[in-house]
Amino acid sequence: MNIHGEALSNSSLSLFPLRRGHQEPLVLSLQPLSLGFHQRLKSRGLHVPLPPVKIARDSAGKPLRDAQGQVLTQSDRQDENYLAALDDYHQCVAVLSVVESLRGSPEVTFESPVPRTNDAEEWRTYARLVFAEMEAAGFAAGDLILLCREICRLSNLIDDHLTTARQNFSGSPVSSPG
Amino acid sequence: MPPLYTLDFHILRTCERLHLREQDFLTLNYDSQLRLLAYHQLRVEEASHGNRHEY
Repeated sequence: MNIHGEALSNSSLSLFPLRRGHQEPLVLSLQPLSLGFHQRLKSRGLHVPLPPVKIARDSAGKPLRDAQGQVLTQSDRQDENYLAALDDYHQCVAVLSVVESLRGSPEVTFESPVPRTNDAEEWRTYARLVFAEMEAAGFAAGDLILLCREICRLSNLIDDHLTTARQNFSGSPVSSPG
Repeated sequence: MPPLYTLDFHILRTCERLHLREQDFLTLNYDSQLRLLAYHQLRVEEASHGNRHEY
C-alpha cells in the first residue's frame, strides 16, 4: 500500500480525519510517540516551569518560621510570568508531540528548520514557529487538542502494538509448556 | 510476572540482552522499539519454556 507514492513501513500508523469546517477532512497519518519522547524533552532542557517561591510573612511583614526556626516559603502560582511560561511549555510539548507523531506522514512537512542542538531556547522557538505554521494553515486551537488526544490514545496502546509486533516473528514459534 | 516488570524494566532488560545502549534504544522510532521489545519478549518465553534456544 502506498500513500502519495510512499510505502507504509510503519505498522502502527493510524489515519486520523481532522474535520476542517465545510471542507473535506484532512486525513493525517499519526504514529505513537516513541518511548524516549519525554526523555528527549528533558535532554533538550524542556522542563515544566516551577512557580516562583516567596517568603511567607505575617500581617506585620515579618517572615514566618516553622518549629525549627526555618523560614517558611510559599509558591506563587498566580505569578504572571509563571503562568505565561506554563502556557508556553504546554503549547511547546503539544506541538513537538504532533511533529513527532506526523513523522510517519511524509505528505506533511513544516518549513521551520529543526534545531540541531539541545538548546532549550532553540526548541522553544522551533515549537513557536511550527505553531505559527499550523495557525497559518487554518488549524484551530481545538484541532491541536484533538490531535494530542489521539496521539495519547495511540501511545498508550503499547500492549496491543506489542502483540501485533510479535506476530511478525512467525518464524520462531513458541513451544507450548509441558 | 514480577512486580518490577514495568515498561522501564522491560526496556532496560531488552537493552542489556541485545547489547544496546539505552540512549540508542530510546532514539529509535516507535516501530523499531516495538520490534525489539517483541523479539526480546519471545526469546524470553522460548527460554522459559525450555525451548532449544538458550537465552
